[in-house]
Amino acid sequence: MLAIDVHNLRKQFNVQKNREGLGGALRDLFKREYTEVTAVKDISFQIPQGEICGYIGENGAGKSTTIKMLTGILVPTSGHIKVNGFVPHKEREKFVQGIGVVFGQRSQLWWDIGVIESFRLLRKVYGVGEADFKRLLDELVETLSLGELLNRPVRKLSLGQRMRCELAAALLHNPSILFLDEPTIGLDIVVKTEIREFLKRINRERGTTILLTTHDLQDIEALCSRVIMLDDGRIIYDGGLEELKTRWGKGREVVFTFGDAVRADKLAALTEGMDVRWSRGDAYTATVWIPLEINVSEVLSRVVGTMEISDIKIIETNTEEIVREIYRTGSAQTPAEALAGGGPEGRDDGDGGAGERVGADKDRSGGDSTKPTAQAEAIKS
Amino acid sequence: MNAAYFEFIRIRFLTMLAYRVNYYSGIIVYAINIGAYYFLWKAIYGDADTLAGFTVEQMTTYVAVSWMARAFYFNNLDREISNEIRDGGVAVQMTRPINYLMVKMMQGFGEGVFRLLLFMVPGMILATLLFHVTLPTDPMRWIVFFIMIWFSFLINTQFNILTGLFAFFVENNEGLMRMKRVSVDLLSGVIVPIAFFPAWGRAAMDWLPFQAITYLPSSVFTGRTSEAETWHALLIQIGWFAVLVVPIVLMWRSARRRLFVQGG
Repeated sequence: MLAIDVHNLRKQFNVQKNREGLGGALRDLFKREYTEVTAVKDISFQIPQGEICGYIGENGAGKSTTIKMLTGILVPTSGHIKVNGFVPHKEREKFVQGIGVVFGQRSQLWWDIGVIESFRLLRKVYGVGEADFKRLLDELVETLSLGELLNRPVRKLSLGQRMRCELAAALLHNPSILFLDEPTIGLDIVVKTEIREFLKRINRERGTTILLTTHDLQDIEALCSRVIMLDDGRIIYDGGLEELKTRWGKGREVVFTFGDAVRADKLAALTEGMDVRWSRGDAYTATVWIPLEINVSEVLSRVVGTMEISDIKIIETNTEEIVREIYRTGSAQTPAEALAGGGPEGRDDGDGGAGERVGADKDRSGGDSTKPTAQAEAIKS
Repeated sequence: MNAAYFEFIRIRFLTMLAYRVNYYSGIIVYAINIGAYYFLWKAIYGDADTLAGFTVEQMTTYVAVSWMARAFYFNNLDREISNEIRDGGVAVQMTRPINYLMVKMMQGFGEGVFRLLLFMVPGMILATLLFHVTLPTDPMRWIVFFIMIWFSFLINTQFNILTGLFAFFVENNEGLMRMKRVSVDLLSGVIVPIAFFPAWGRAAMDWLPFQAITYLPSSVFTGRTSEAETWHALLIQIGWFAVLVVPIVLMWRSARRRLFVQGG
């Protein structure tokens, strides 16, 4: 069954236009002018039960608006939504029983009362039985280590402590779908890791479907098997994270540290006939850039067999760079596809090697790119 | 479900109790208010026995009782609602299986009960010791009074909800909230009993809901009305309560359509 099913979803807002100057202000007083802004433009996607899906995009791309429509807060202008079998804004009170929501930037706990009081209130709000509540609470207290926080007022918690409590609060009624709007915003790396681990665990043990928006791509890498990328209200990418990386990553770099000093021409001779680029560090180190269509292991086997090597480091294009590039161009299509399919905007720079890569993309499976890294680990040890 | 709403009353009560300094200063503020109006009216009466049908004793009692009623019905729900709309907090409330406006009303009720029990009872005891306040002895009148201030609370809260919800439609409803506050205090008869208004003013008040908030319950309680008038007053309250439900429902519906959550 689909947890979330969205068809041609659209949301328009009327935004007040402020006319300039005193005259404009006076005219505004009597007759307002509005500009129509379309925050979400006819998007469609489906999320099956039990999936963790990342929803990313620049500020103002329409992520929060979508989440707010999916949770029944906003009424869509047009289109169809089914979440958990409900139309969110129509049967709101019944529908929200089955979902949990965390907004990273605003608290859902009551500011003035103790955490446990908030939890008890939520128990009554959701009509959870005393026994179930106790079991769930004990479990959450243990996995999120909330023990000592329970009796403190929410206003005295640190951001990290508060966020852990927010997560617990959103899960007390055991929802089947969890919506997270920037759950790790402003948190330190330790808390971020804890929260990611916790979310994975919830997903594994309870089968909770999770949809999260974030600006931290490490969240996505750690959690999501699937990414939906939004730009200016439209979906520009929907698919696996690995696929995104292989489609957009321009290549990998391998940094060698040699046992003896080596000459540059010797290195070049080793990779004769391969389209790779060597660059020297000092006498003992060199970096080779390998385009995506060449397997890293091929290059390694040529070098490792003949040279004495003390260390190897493989650097993949990180997701952040890829995403930055996509945001910049406003399309997740590879340049060749953009030419063929007439994407919304062409790339503004014709990046040399990128066009030739398309053929290689097809037979490259998602898991492939992790292999060389594993190999390198083996060589090192 | 209802247990949840009851819980909101309890928690608001506890929250109010958590801020103790507010509590102590509250008692003093109420005593000062009653005192100030007592001396003001004494000066206005001068040598006169009655003004607009009020004896000095009745006036003193009216002032004390009006403030007692005000302690119960007064709340800041308009400000709370408009703040939650403007900072987007209302969005969080909408993800819960409860009615937002009902929750607000319950919170207001918790606040009212708190003020009544912990501000007004001590304040009244203080006032009865200092000034000539004569409270009725007929238990029936007490019962009717409490029913009536319950409706005062409902009607005043309806006003607050309406003003608060305006935040959905205008960028800043600060002015509106101030206007509402001043009009309720003046037109409901806390500052000046409606009997003192000029004839046209009284006639106008008959057609407005404000008298149902303070003037009617206080008049009944101070014994200025016959039994028939008492029931009539209660009917007016019930009528206004029913009438005011309509704009709230309409406004809430259209607000949900145009809900514009900030930061999004």
